[in-house]
Order: sequence, then structure tokens, then C-alpha cells
Amino acid sequence: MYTLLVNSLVILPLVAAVLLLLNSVLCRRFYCAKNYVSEEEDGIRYRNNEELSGNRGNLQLKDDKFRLLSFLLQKKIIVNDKSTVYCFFLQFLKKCFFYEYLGRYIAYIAALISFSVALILFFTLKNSVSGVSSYVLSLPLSLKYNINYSLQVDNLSIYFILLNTFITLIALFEGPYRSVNSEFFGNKIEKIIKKLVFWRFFIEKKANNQIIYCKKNKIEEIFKIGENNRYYSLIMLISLSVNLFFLAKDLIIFYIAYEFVLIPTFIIIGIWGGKEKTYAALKFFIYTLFFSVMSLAAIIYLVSKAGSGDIGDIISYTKNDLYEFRPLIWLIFFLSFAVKIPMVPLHTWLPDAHVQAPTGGSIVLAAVLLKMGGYGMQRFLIPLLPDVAEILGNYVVLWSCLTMVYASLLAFFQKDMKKMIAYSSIAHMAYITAALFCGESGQYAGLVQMISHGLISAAMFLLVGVISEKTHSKLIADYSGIAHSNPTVASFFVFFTMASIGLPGTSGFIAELLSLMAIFNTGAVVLGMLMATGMVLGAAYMLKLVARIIFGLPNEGGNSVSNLAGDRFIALSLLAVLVVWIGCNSGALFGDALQNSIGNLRKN
Amino acid sequence: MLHFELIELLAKFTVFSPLITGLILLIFRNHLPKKSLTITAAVAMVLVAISSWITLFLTQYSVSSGSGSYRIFYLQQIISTQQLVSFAAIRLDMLSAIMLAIVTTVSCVVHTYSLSYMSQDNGQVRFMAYLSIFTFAMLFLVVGDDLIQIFMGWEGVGVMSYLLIGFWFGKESANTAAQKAFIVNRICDVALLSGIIILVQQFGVSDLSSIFSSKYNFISELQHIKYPVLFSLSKLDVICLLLLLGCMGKSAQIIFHIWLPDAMEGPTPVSALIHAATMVTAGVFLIVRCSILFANSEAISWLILAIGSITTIFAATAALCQTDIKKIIAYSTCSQLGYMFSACGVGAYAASIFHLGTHAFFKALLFLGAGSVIHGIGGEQDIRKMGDLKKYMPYTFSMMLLGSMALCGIFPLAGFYSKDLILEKIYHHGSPGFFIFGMVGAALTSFYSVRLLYYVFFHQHTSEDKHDNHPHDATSIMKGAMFLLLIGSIFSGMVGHKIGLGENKSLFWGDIIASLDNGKNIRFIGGGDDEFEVLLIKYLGVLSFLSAVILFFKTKCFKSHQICQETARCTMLDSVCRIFKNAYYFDELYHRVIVKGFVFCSAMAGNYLEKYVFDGYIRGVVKFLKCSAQNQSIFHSGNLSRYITVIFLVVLFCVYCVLYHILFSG
Repeated sequence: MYTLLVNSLVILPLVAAVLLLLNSVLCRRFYCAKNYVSEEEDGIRYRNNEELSGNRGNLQLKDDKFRLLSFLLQKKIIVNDKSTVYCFFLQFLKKCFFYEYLGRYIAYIAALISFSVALILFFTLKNSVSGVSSYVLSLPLSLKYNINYSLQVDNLSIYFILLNTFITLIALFEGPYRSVNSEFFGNKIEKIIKKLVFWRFFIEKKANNQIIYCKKNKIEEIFKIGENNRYYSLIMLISLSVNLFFLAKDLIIFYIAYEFVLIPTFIIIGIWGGKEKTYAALKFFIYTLFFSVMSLAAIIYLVSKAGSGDIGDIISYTKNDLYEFRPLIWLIFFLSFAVKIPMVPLHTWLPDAHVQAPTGGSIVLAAVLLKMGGYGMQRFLIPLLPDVAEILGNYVVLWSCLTMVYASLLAFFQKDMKKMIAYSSIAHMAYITAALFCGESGQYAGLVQMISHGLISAAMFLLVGVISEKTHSKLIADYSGIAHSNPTVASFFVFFTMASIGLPGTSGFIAELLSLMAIFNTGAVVLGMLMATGMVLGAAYMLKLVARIIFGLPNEGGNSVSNLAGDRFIALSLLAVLVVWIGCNSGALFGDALQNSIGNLRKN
Repeated sequence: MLHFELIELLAKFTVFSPLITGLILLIFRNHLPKKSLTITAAVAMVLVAISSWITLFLTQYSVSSGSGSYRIFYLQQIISTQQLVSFAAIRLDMLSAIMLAIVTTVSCVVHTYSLSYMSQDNGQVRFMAYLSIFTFAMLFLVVGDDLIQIFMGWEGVGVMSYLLIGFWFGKESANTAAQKAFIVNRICDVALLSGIIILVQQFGVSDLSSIFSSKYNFISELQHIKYPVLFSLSKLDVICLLLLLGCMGKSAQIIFHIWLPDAMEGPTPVSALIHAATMVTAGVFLIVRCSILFANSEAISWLILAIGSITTIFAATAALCQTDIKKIIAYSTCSQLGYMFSACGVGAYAASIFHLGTHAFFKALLFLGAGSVIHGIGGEQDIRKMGDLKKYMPYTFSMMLLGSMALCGIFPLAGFYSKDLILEKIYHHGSPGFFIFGMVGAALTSFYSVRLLYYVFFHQHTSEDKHDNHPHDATSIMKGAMFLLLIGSIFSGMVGHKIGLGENKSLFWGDIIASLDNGKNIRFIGGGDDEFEVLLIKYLGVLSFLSAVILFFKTKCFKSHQICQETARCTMLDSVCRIFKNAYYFDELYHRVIVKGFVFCSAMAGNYLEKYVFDGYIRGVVKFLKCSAQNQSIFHSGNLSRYITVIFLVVLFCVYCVLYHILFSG
């Protein structure tokens, strides 16, 4: 049962991604065929309308390209078939492949199912008395080196799975052509809600900001077809590989997932990014690849020495053996994770990638991908060589403090709001690295901070996306007085700003408090105080941002901020509720089971 | 017992209904009529005030009947980790019950006042919602037993203050002031949080009831742990110092006072509620709440006394030369908070709370009166442009007069009892220097109060810059609200004196605050009340008030508004005045050193370090790769003849080598 559930976390996004990818390719052709438009290699042009108007009744598709299409399009084939199940299936398949709107359903349903699977797993794990973790399925990949495709979920990884599946849901809203999205989700839900009079106040009165396909220019319209599905499929691919990373029990799978996630992210930034998308995408890809490839060497060394790819086996091997290269191996792994987090001299890819990435890409990048570094440290690096971690950990804490101060200073300096939030991400992630190396309580704190930052940064990037949607400008100077023109966006922005600077009652505070307590626990009072200044520095730059863009008098561009569509409103409200919930009752989510799990991690 | 259940119910109602009201107002602010929403908020707050007074009486009854000095009603877990389990709870003892009553009463008055004062404003509902949520945060703070909960409320009031100062967010100055208030408070909050963390680590729990129940063994232990880094300070001293820093920020004591005068950018009811009666007293409250720690730390107690006394004088002198009516009252608040700190410093915690209570009434009254003046003359805040308003707004004048008299400590009014008690305690404590500071501060209080009254209500204008629009007196709602506070400012002192609020009587307070009598560090000098100094204290208020009246009304030199204007003549008085007016240039100093320094650092980091070092090395690597690739690409030109030439040359070289080898080494 649980085997099935855990595997579905990987398989579902995979199936959805494949379906969506096929759909995005085929639906454009189908559309062309249906509308008598031929698609050519160098673009799309209309067929002569006069030529086609004659034989509208019986469409003959002469093109070889469309042979398959016409085959499927002819209803006769389907009707003639005796088996209704087969018929139904075929029709469904046809729809899946050719109708763009179905792509949305596929994506949302897959994401929803994986989220609910994650929830089921979470509650099962939480309530399980003895079994802290559940082991599942292992398919041998290489018998010689004992490498298996094996997945495992425990109380630690389930939080990341939950975060990932949840953020995937939100990222799906942010397709490249939001018109399509909100038509589906926003409008429908709005319509339902509008029927309930009581809930009416939740909705912006003029939420009708969708740009319906512009009818005048059909060629552009055709280019748009399938774009969203392509985006969905890439998001699903990210979701898949991140899930795989968090579930992996085998070091090789762990590594593959860690690397594979770069590809869809690279494509998302590369296709839908801003002006310098190519530079940013390449920088992101090569930067992170370079450091993780180094770790591949260490992984191969470890696997061949330990004779098994299993992380647990490797950890127990290093405990008794492996006296040579200990610090070196530790350092290599540390660097490969530190790039992902990122820590200061290795961070310059992040602001560029964030600024260039589309909103959805930024959300996933900040909320989930950065956490892979932290999870990697927690799951693998610290248990692997705890003695080295103990010695070098103090330097890591110091380094994190400096990272925090430096990133905060830089955030204060930025003129681009997305860049500012990117730097604030670096500053917040520094709390994680500092906490992780401060013993067991620190690991707990690091996890809380990771989840909290995942939620808050997702919301912040979503809001920046909303604000810059119409004008396509992310410069702070271009905005002023959003509170006048758009109070809902402004309220959310102020709320998440407060969460980001760690206002008590929000998850940011709990995370920072626990991290600080962990640092103080080690006796490093001065470092703790230095880290605590992050609360002031964070307030300095975030309030500056709020004062500039939210408050103040509205400028000419002040009204160009789009209203909050229904789906985004729901996403932000959910995030806000979660943030407050964790902030007011962190024990409910991060319970004893997690602490036992972290304790076990260190005992292994 | 029945009445405990009743107390619990009432306390929960008192604490949480402002939050619910505020949220309802925020959510429905565009969907329901403005008037009904605002009136709902005011009515809710009246109910809350009533229930808090009942709570106070019931608590007093249960304390005096000897059934425990405090009672805790647990609400919900906030944090649960292996190191720390903290619960949100409602702790009811005399301290929190009195604070509840003060906060809700002032809040109720301010809500009512805002009904009329803010009625022209588009954001009135939002304003009332913020006020309600602020009230919740303050109540959550004062009923806190857990340090984490107290910190939650502490920051909660900070953020609501931020939102309320910046309520008119179109105004640049309001935004800046709001940011300044938040960040200065945040700096102190970091210290407070660090103190809390060290305290929690030491005790393993975060609730004060457990910390203090183990006070005798643990605190003496703490006193003996010395920090090696900080010279001769014990761990207890360090904890107290950090807590004190937090309190100084919130209570706008010297060094951290700079945000309070700027906070006057907010609407006047906000100043009355937050920056006079409630939030700024949170620091005093926390010191009293943790009095068991502070009383055992001699060094920090002395520091509190010093800071309080210096703030008293400093703020009073600064108030003497301000020209903005609200800033005068703000500095006066600062100065009065200095008295409360001084009282805490000498161990007279109960007296400090007594003064906190009376001060809340008359200072809120003064602010509301100032608001009424500002409202009446159409938004002008400069006292030089007012004058002769007595005949236009007699009601407001009488309110302001009585409020000022209460502030100055004139006999039957509230300030007489509380301030004199503090001065007496300082005198008995045996620190004559600080006693003189306090006396001078009390005298200065009369001077700036009378100056304010004189310029606003009496001063005859010679020039033309008189108020154009006809001044009008307060509306009836505002009058009613002020009258409630007037009752408080007249009688609270008497009542408090009668029931012995200012003394650490265990019959009244229970054992929740450190007692003056059995504190081993407290020294006594002198004796009975018949000494000359004590008599002086008693008559100081009247004497100084009268002399100030004579000075302003009878002396020629203040007839022209010389003292307010920065004249070109550089007399001694003027230059002193300028220093006072700029509050000893603290603002300038911080702006030049800290703000500019921070901006400079961030610009350096952004312009140079990030660009040329951290991003530079990546670009360097890329450049190197590109260069080397370009250099290599010369060989891959596709030029056949060049390839042949190269091949030929290489072959030639090889042949040469081989030949050389054969010929010469063989």
C-alpha cells in the first residue's frame, strides 16, 4: 500500500509530464488542422481561406503530417469499434493529446493527487508508533555495486515532500499565459464562490483581468497554444525529480535527482525568462553543475568503497572505515550543497536566475530547489562524517553569519525588487546552514526554517509576479502607492513582509527563534548575537521595499498593477494561513515524530 | 469555584474580542457601511473595558482573600521542541489585571474619540481595525506568562504601531517615521530576544511562573556565573542588561528615544493610545514583571535608575523648546517614562506601576486635547501659529489645563500622588544626585506644560499668520471621551493612594513583584516624612507651576515668541534653545553615523565586492575559458593550406628529432 503511495509520488508527475509534453506538441497541430491552418517549419501561416471554404464539409487532410491526426479525428473508426471501453479510452486519449484545456486538468489532478498522497503519508507517519520510517520498493540497478532504485520516506523527508507538492500546485497557476489558467481555475472557483453570498467579500470586485486570446492576430494565438502545457510538464518534471531527491535512499538516485532537476529549471528560465535569460540560465546550470559534478567523483569513490549505494550503508561504512580523505570528501559534498543553498562566495547564480526566471520558475526555485541543499546536508552530509562536521561546523556557522550580514547588505542595495527578495532568500538560508551545524536542536530549527522560508518566499515571488505582471518592470522605482490602487495585493505584501522579517505569530519567527536558540546553545553567544542582527537588517531592507512600492503616493504607473485573480488569492490565502498556523502552533506540524527522526538520523 | 470560571471567561473575552473585532473590520471594510462597523468596534471596546474592570475586581478579591497571588489559564501551545515548550496563557495577577484595566479603558476612550475625530477620513474602518488589533496585542503582552508569548505581544504592538504611525501612507514623512520606529524597536527587540534566549537556556523553561518559583536557588546561582568576556558582569546582569535594552527601546529611553517624537506623524488618537498610555509603558511593565530578576542585579538596577533620571531631564529640556504641540507632549511622555524607570531602578516597582496608571490617564487626556485643538483649527500643529484659542474652545482648554495640572503634580490630581511617591522613593534610596535630577525634571514639567498652554490658548498674535478657518471646539463625542479620561486623571491618584497601589503590599499585590522591604540590596537612609526635602517634594508641583505661570504671563520676555524662534541673534539662550529643540542632536548623529554608514556599507558591497569579487571571479573563469578557446581556434581555421603547413612542419620537426637522436646519441 505505502509502496504504491510512495511510488505514485514519482510516477504520477512523470506520467503527467509525458502526457503534457505530448499534448503541447500535438494540440497545436490539431488546432491547425481544425482551423485549416498549416504549420510550417519557419512559422505558421493561414491557408488560403477561399481555397478551404469550398470543402469545409469533408475535410481532407492531404499533408502527411496530419495522417495520424485525420485517422484519429474520424469518428467513424471509434464508433465502428465494438468495444465501448476501448472507444472511451481512445476518445479520452485523443482528448488528452489534442485538447489543450485538458492539459490543465491533467496537471492539476496529478499535482492534487500527489499532494494528497503526501498528506496521507504525513498523517500515517505521524501516527505510527514505532515505525519512524517506512522503507519501500527497491529495484536493482546494478548488482555488482549493489545499487538499487530504492525509495524511503520518513518523518524528515515527508515535510519536504509536502512542501514540494504544495508549491507545485501554486507554481502551476503561474503559466506563461495566465489567461488560460484563470479561465479555468480562477473564474470557475470565483463563479462558485460568488454564488455563496457570504463569501463574496473574498473576491476582488473587478477580477476580470484576463487577456482572452487576442482574436485579431491568429498567428500569435497559435504560438500560444500548448505553451502552458509545456510549462506544466516542466513543472511536473521538477516536481518529479525533487520528490525523487527527497525520497531517495540510494546515493546514486540521490545524485541523479539532484542533477536532473537542473534541466527543467534551465528550460523554464531559458524559454520564458526575461531579457538576459540565456545568460542567467547558463550561469545557473553550469555553476551548480560544476560543483555537483565534483561530488560525483566522491560518490563513486564512496559507493565503490562501501560496496553499496545505500545511504545508510555508506554512513555505517564511513563510521568504521575510510580514514583517508575524510575532510576532503566532506568539503566536496559541502560545496556541492552550499552552491544550492547558496552560501556567499558561491551565490551569484541565484540573483541572476531569479530576476530572469518567470514567476512560476522563481517560486519553485526559491521555495523548493534551494531546500535541496539544506536537505542534502541534513540527510547525508552531517550523518556521513559527524566528526568532521563537528570540527568544521563552527566555521560553517561563522561563515553563515557573515553570509547573512553580507546578503542583507546587498539586499538593501538592490534596485530590482526580485533581486532584493533573492538576496533576502540568501540571508534567510544562512540561518539554515548555521542552525544545521548546531546539534540536534539546530537540525530541527533548520527544518522549520526551510519549510517556513519555502512558504514565505513562494508568496513573495508570487506577489512580485502579480505586481510586475502588467508593466513587466521589476524596478522598485517604477512602483509607488500600490496600497492606494490595489489594497488586497498591498495587504498580502505587507503580511508576507512581516512574516519574512520574522514577526512573532508567523512561521518566520519560530524558525529564527529556534535557529538562534540552537546557536546560543553551542555557547557561541557572540555569533548568536550577530545572527540575531539579521532580524534588524531584514527589517531594514524589507520595510524599505514596502515603503517604496506599497506606501507612498501612487505614481502614473500605480494603477497598472493587476488585480488579484481568484486562484492567486486562494494560493496566497493558503500560504498565509499556513504561515500563521506554524507561527502560532508549531508543535502541531513539527511534532515529536520529527524529533525522533532527527535523533535517529544522528544515531545511525 | 465559580468566580474563577467567571474570571477565566471574562479574561478570555477581554483579550480576544479586540482581535476578533479588528479582523472583522478589516475583512468587511469594503462591504459593510462604515458607520456601523466603527460603532461596533467602539461598543465592543466599551464591553471589553467593562469586563476588564470586573476582572480586576475579581482578581483583587481573590488575591486579598489569599487564594494565590496569580492564576494561569492555558490557551494553546506555541512551541514544542525538546528544549522548549511554551504555552500561550492568560496570567491573571494584580499587575496584569491593572494593566488590562488601564489598556482597555484608554483604548475604549480612544476608540470612541476616533469615531468623531477620524470620521472625515476614508480609512476610518481600517484605522479602527488597527486600533483594535493593537489593543489585542497589548493585552496579549500583559497577560503573558510565557516569555515567548510576551515577545509575541511585544512585537505585535510594534508592528501595529508601525502601521498606525504610517497610517496616512501617502505621506513620505509618515512612512519614514514608521520605518524608524519599527527599526529602532527592532534593534532593541533583538537584545530582548537574546536575553530571553539566554534566560530560557538557563532555566529550561520559558514561563515566568516556573522561572520565579525557582528563584532562590537559581538566581543566586546565576549571580555567581561570571561572563569572561564582559568585565565582572554575572550572567544575571547580562540577562537583565539585555532585557533592559529591549525595555529601553519600547519605552523610548535615552539613546533609543529618537523614534517617539517622530511617531507623532500618526493620527492623534494613535499618539494618545500607543505613544502615551500603553505601548511605551510596555518596557516599564516588563521590568516590573521581571522585577525578581532586576531586584537581584544591583548593577543593572543602578543603570535603570541612571537611565531613567537622565531621560527625565533630557526629555523635559527637549520638550521646553519644541514648537510642534504633539512633540512637546511626546517628549513629556518620554520624561515621565524616565520617572517610571527611575522608580524601577530604586526598587519601587509598585510606585512605577502607580505612575504608569495615572500617567496613562492624564497623558492620553493631553493628547486627546491636543487632537481636539488640531482638529479644531484644521490640522495645524505648530504652536506658534495657534494662540488665543481659549475663547474658541473653552472645553478643550479646561481639559488641557486639568490634564497639565495633573501632569505637574498639583495637589488633588493624579500626578501629585504618583510622581511624589516616586521622588520620595528615590530620595529614600539614597542617591541624592538622581533625586536632584528628578526634582529638576518635575520643575521642568511645569514649565513646558505652562508654555504649551500659554502658546496655544492665551498668546495674542501680532502678526497676520493667524488661523484662517474658524476654530471650533470638540464635538460631543470627543468631549465625552475626554471627560472620561478627566475623571481618571483627577481621581486615579487619590484612589490609588487610598488602596496603597504604590506600596509593595503583599495583601494587594500578592508576591508577584519584588518587595522593597525584604530586598537585601535596598538601602535606606533618612527617616520620617517630616524632612525638608519631603516637604519640598509635596509642594514642588504647585510652586513650579505657579512660577511658570508668572514667568509666562507676567514677564515681558516671553510675550513675543522669542523662545520658539530660531533667531539670527546668537545669544546664549538661543543656542541652548537650539540644542534643546534638536534634542541634543541625537537624530543628526544617528543619521550621519549609523544610517549613512549602513547605506555606505551596502553600496560598497553592491558596487564593488559583489560586482568585482564574487561575480568577478566567475566572469574571470568564463573569460579565461573563452580566451583559451579563441586561442585554440586559430588552429581550426578550416584553411587547408595552413593545415598542410602545420602538418609538414610537425613532420619536419619529428624527422629532425629522430635524426638528431640517431646521429648524435648513438
